[in-house]
Amino acid sequence: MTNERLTIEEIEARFPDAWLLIVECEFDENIEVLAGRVVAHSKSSAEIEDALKHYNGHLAIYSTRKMPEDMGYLL
Amino acid sequence: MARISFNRLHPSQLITVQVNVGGITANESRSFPVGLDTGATFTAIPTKVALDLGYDLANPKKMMPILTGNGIISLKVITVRQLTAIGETVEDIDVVCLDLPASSMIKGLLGLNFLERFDIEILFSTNTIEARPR
Repeated sequence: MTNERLTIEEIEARFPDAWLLIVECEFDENIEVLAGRVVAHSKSSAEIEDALKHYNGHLAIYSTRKMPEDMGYLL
Repeated sequence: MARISFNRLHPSQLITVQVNVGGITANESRSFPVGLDTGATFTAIPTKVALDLGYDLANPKKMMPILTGNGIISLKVITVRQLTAIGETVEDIDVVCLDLPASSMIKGLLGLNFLERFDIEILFSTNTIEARPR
C-alpha cells in the first residue's frame, strides 16, 4: 500500500474510515501505535486478518472507522 | 501505576483500548483494539490472530463453555506467552479464541482474567484508566 513510514496522525488522515494493517510499528508505553507503514487497508476487518499471514514481526491491526452514534453494544 | 487514555467520544461507544499479544516466539506480536469488558470472564482474541502468532488451535488447552447473549457456545482456550494492555503486561495468560462480527469496531475483549490482576479505576471525567498491581 505504502512504502512510506507515517505517523499515526498522517495514517488517520490518509486512510479514513478503514481497517489497516500496519507493520514496522512504533508503539508508546500503552501499546498505542505512534508510527508505522500501512501495508493493507479495507472496509472489512476480515480482509485485514487475512493479510496477516503475509507479514512478520510486530504488527498492528488498527481502525480509523467511527462507530455510528446511534448504535450501541451489549456484549 | 499505569495510566492510559481511552477514546470514548459518544455514550454509545465502548471503552476501547489497544492490546498486544505476543507470539510463540518473542519476535512476533500482534496489536489490535479490544473492548474493556468487566462482563466477560475471559479475554478474547480473534482466531486468525492466534493462528498467525503460531498457536496450535488444533490442540487447545481446553474447550470452555461460554454464556453469551445468543446462548452457550464452546470456545477454544489457549495460553498466550504475553499479553499487554492498559499499561500492564501479563505472562502466560489464558485467552479464548472468538471472532466478533466483522462490523464490530473491536477485534476482541479485555476480560476479567486480565483485569482482576490489578486494581483498576476508570475515570470517566478524564477518559483515563489507572491500573495498579494488586
